[in-house]
This record gives sequence, structure tokens and C-alpha cells, in this order.
Amino acid sequence: MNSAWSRWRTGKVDFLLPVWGDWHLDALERAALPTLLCDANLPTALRRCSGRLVVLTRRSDVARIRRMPGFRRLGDLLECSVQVASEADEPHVSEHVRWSHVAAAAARERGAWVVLLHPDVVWAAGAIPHVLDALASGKKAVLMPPNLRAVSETLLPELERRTGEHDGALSLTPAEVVRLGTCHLHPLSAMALAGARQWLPASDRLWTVPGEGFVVCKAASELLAYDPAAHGVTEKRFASQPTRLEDVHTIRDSDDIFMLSLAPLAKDFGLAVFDHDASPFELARWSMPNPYNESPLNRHLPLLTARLHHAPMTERLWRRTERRARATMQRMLRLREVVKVFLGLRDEGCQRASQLLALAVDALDMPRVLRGAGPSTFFVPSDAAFAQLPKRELHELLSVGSESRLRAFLLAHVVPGRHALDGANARLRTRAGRELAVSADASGRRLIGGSIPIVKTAEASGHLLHVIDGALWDF
Amino acid sequence: MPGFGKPRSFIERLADFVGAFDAEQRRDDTHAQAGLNGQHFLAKLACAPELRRMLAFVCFHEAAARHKLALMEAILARAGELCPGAGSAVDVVHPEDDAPAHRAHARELYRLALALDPECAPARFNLGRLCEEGGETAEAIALYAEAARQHAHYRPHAELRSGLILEAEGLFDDALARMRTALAAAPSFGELHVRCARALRRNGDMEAALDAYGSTVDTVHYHAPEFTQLDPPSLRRASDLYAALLPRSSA
Repeated sequence: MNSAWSRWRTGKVDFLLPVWGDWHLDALERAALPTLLCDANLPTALRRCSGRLVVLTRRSDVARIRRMPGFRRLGDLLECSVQVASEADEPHVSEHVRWSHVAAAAARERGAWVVLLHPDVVWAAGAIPHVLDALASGKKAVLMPPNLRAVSETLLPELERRTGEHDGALSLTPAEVVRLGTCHLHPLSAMALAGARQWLPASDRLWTVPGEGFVVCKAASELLAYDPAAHGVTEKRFASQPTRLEDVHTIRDSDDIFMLSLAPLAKDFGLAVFDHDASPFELARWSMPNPYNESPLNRHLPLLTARLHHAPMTERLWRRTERRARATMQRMLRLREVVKVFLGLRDEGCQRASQLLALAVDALDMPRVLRGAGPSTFFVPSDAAFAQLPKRELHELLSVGSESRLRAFLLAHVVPGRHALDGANARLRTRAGRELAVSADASGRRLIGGSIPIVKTAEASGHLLHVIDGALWDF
Repeated sequence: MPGFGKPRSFIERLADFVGAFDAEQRRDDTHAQAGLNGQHFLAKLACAPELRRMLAFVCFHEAAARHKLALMEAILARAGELCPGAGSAVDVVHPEDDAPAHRAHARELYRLALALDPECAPARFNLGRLCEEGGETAEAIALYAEAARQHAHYRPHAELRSGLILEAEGLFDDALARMRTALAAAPSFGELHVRCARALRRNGDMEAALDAYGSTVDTVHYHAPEFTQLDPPSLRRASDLYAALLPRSSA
């Protein structure tokens, strides 16, 4: 790390802080600023880099920000500017993302890296220097830490009492911050716990290690820091570049980089689903179809576990919980593949096949059905082919109690590996164990089993879809 | 949410208002005292429909706040089971209350809102949720049906909830009819497609089940928040009116 720092010592960093509105300014003043000001955060970080703080806000909040004692103390540490990012009285709730994109462009112009300072969080001691450590060590970006939320109505007064005792700066070890997050656990985080009876659609999933903390997995993640000159971000600050997980710093332990999010007790409560805990399919469905959530990192990120701990860790317990977490997220990833195949089928006009696949997702244990499949070749009966199948027998296949036959039907149409079938003849074996002969007729059309033509070929998330004019099943 | 952090303040403020209103209108000590009686208060407001609606709205919001708090407490109690030490925050906010008390109070206030304004669809729908949670399924279904009739926003959730109740009671045809009505009202409600598709498959209607399943994968999870009350301008207006009517409080 020392040599990395010597190479990076002259590096510039723009700390971007978008904030507006009474609640967020309150959180900034009472939680974020005191914990950023502790010696182990910004003061230490600024001994290693040339930083400036860019506060982005609406016009009516400028004066209050400038009056904050914490902000004035920041001015003693680094160059601070407060920029009016909007003239609107009530900027849209997602405006901060657009503001930070504009500010990141300015950072790029002056050759600075970007660190996003969230205003409504408690920063654990050491978090900011560790972000810079990761960038200096050659990582191209730092992902957001695991999301744990606390109730602001109860946590802020507790923080304020402690800050008052420490002259405006507040140093909280990562373990203390996790403990505060546990004691003041927000309903939104409670709903993200595995085993909860309610669910709020969200990308982070938590497993408890009783008395010691949480294992967290992310289905998708925004960026916390990045080099805007070299790496792209999506509209919603997910990575579009880099594409390899090893190029980004992921937070695996709260002792590395951690911040505790604050939210009012009632935040987003209306979105909660009260009937059930989240299934892996719901995680897949929620985190994938939204194009803003898409990132090349999403393929591998969910299998990385992070430990948020507030007590000495019993290794055996943590490993066991991590295995459970990875198993769930592995199922989620396989179901994401199914969702992508579903979308591919629909794009190719294979309505009936996509419907049947969706039914199978609900009726079968699809992650088990597709276990170890990897990229596959799907032979997909066209809608016209489905229309020719005997309706009564098809309906029986789909009915409750016929799940093993439905599974066999599906596997009869899947071949492991990608087979473009460009050559004339081939012999393939389906996942149901049946051999398929691929040949060509006089006009060059490729035929399956000597009689079923391939109508067209498409690709979906690395899988090949051959649309065929028949079914590979004997009714 | 008016009064969210102060569980007793709404009743106190309402009592203040009723007293002031009564004194202003009649200037009679006897009647002013009687004005604190809810029945008299309702009768008095019979000729002021706008005022009744506004007060119903205020009652509804207080009830919804308590209802939410009860649900939050249940969520955090479950979190406490999963993770010892978690979820003490709600205890700190409301040390003197618990989920059953909030539910009972919410129920009382929803009923008061409906007494003031029988067309208050969100109060009717949420009262239905409370009845369903309490196992009073027939009353819940009746409340859902009326809420759906009163406001289209509640139709998908009302029909879905009724359908699930009926399905649990083994009345598959009735359940399906409810869910189909819900689907027609909210074609993009993903969770509804899942529930409906399952019911159709169980009932052997495979063509309809396939159609429903085809919409389960990439539709959003929720159609609209169940506790969405009214549009923001209405909310602000009600809040402003409430504040204007209660000059002595800090509403």
C-alpha cells in the first residue's frame, strides 16, 4: 500500500455531497458531518490526497449549510464550495443523481476522482481513508457498502448527545456503528432480513448471525467512488465500466468501509409487501428487469458476502450463515437467467413458450432443474407449433400434480452448451437424455430429428434459442 | 402524517376543535359541553359536508398512522426474534403503546372517519385490512367491495384481498372472479398476475393460467402502495385546512 500511495500522493479527489431539504440537512448536521470530521475519516484522508468538497444543493438551503459549525470546520480542512444545483423549491427526489453526474464531469475535467459523500449516513471511523486506499491500490471503483438502515427519530438524538461530548466530531468504530444499526433497526432493513414475514422490494438481503451481526448480499450495487475519466456509470450510478469484479473494490467486512443509513420511521412503508418473505425469484425479478439496475458486475456480485459485525465473530456461525446466503443468491442468479431467457423468447415472438417457462418458474424448482447447465441451447416450439399440439394433453402436462412430466418436457428441449448448428449434421443429447439428430434438407434448412425445421435462431444472455416448428415430445 | 409522533395529540386536538366549534356556534355552556360528545358533534356537522369530509380525512390519516405503527411494531418484533437486540427503535418512539392498542385505536378512528364521510374509500379499505388481519373475513370482503366501488384506485387490491380470502375458504370460482376483476383493473400489477395464475392453474383453466403466467415475470411487484391515501394536493389541502381550523394547536 505504501508504494501505491507514493504513486498516488498527488491525486486529486472531489468529494461530492448532494443534499437538500430540512430532513436531509438535519441528518447531515447531526450524523454525517460529525462522523466525517473525526480524525480517522476526512482529516486522515486529506493527509494523503488533495481533496475538495463540492456541496450540491437548492438555493434556499445554501445559507443554512454555510452556517453549520461542522461545515465551517470542514473549511479548515479542505477547499469547500456550495453550488446551487437547482433553482426549484422542491427538486425531484432523484435529482441528486443528475447533480452528481454534472459534478463528476467537472471532476473529470480537472483530473480528480470522485467520492460520493451521502448526507444521511453515519460514517464509521476509517471508512473514507479506506476508500482512498482501495483507489490507490489500483482498483478502478469502490462499490457501495452493504445497506443497513436505522430509524432517524431515535438514532439522531443519541448521536447528538455523543457529539456534544466530543467537540463536534464523533468517532465511532465500525462495530459501534453496526451495533447502533442493530439497536435502531429500521423496518426497511427488518423487511430485508431472511425469514421476515414481509418484504420491501430491494436489492440488499440480510441474514442474521444472532448476537454478532449480519451477513449481507447485494443483487446489484451503486458506486461509492470512481475515476470519472476512466470509468462509466449508468444513469443510476451503477457501473457500466469496469466490467470485471476484480477491478472494483467490494466491501466484505464492516471494518473496511461502512456507513449506516438513516431514514424516518415511515419512509417507503407503503411499498411493503405484507404477505410473505422475498423469494429468490422475486429478488431476481426486482433487481433485473429495471434497465437502470443493469451492470456487468451483477453476474457475480450477488455471490459475494459481506460481514457486518458488532461483536467478536464465531467463525463457524459466520461460515454457516454465508453458505446459506450464497445458496439463496445462487438460486437468485439462476432465476435471473430464466428471466433473461423468458425475455428473449418473448422478443422472438414465442409467446406460448415464454408463458410455459413462467409457469415452470412457479411450479418447479427451476434453479435445481437448471443446476450446472451454464450456457445452453434451447429448442423452442414456435407459437404455431404449440397450436398444433393436442390441447388436452398439453393442459394435463401443465396441471397441478404433473410437475415431474413438465420438468421432463422442459429438459427435452434443452441441450447443455451453445450449439449454433452451422454445420450440416450433428448429434446432440438433451438434458432429458434423449439424442437429437440435426440434419439439413435439400434447401439447406436445418432439421431436428429429420423432420422439425429450425425457423430462426436468437441469443439471450449467452444462451442460444433455436425456434423450431414442432415439439421434441411425444404426447 | 399529522400527530405521528404524538399518539394522544389528535384526540386532544379534535376535542379542542369540537369544543371551540360548539362554543362559537351556540355560545351555550351546556351545549358546548355536549359538543364533546361524538354523536352530537356528528349531528351538528350534518349540514357541513365539506367540513365533514375534511375531518374524516384527518381521522383517516391519524388512523393510518396508527395502523402503520402497528405493522411496523410487528415487523420489528419479528426482526427481534431473528436478531436479538434489533428493533428497539419503535419502543423508544412510543414507549406507552403497543401494536394491539394501535390497531384498536386505528379501527376506532377508521370507523369515525366513515361515520363522518361514508365515501372515504381509503378508510374503508384499510378498515377491511384490519378486519382481515383479525379474522373477520366476511366484514373484510364487504368493506373491500365498497371501497372498490367508491374509488377505482382500491379496486385491484380490494379484489385481490377478497379473492385470497375466498380461495382460502375453498370458494375457487368466486375467488377467480375477484382476481379476474382485479386483473382487468390493473394489468401491470405483477403480484396479482402471480396469484391469479396460481388460482387458475389450480382450477384447471390452463389457457387463462398461461396468459396470466406470461405477465408474472417482468411486471412490477406492486401496483400501487396499499396505504397510498390520496393525491399530494389533496393531502396538502387537508393538512392546511386542519391547521387553519386548529389555531391553538401546532398541527
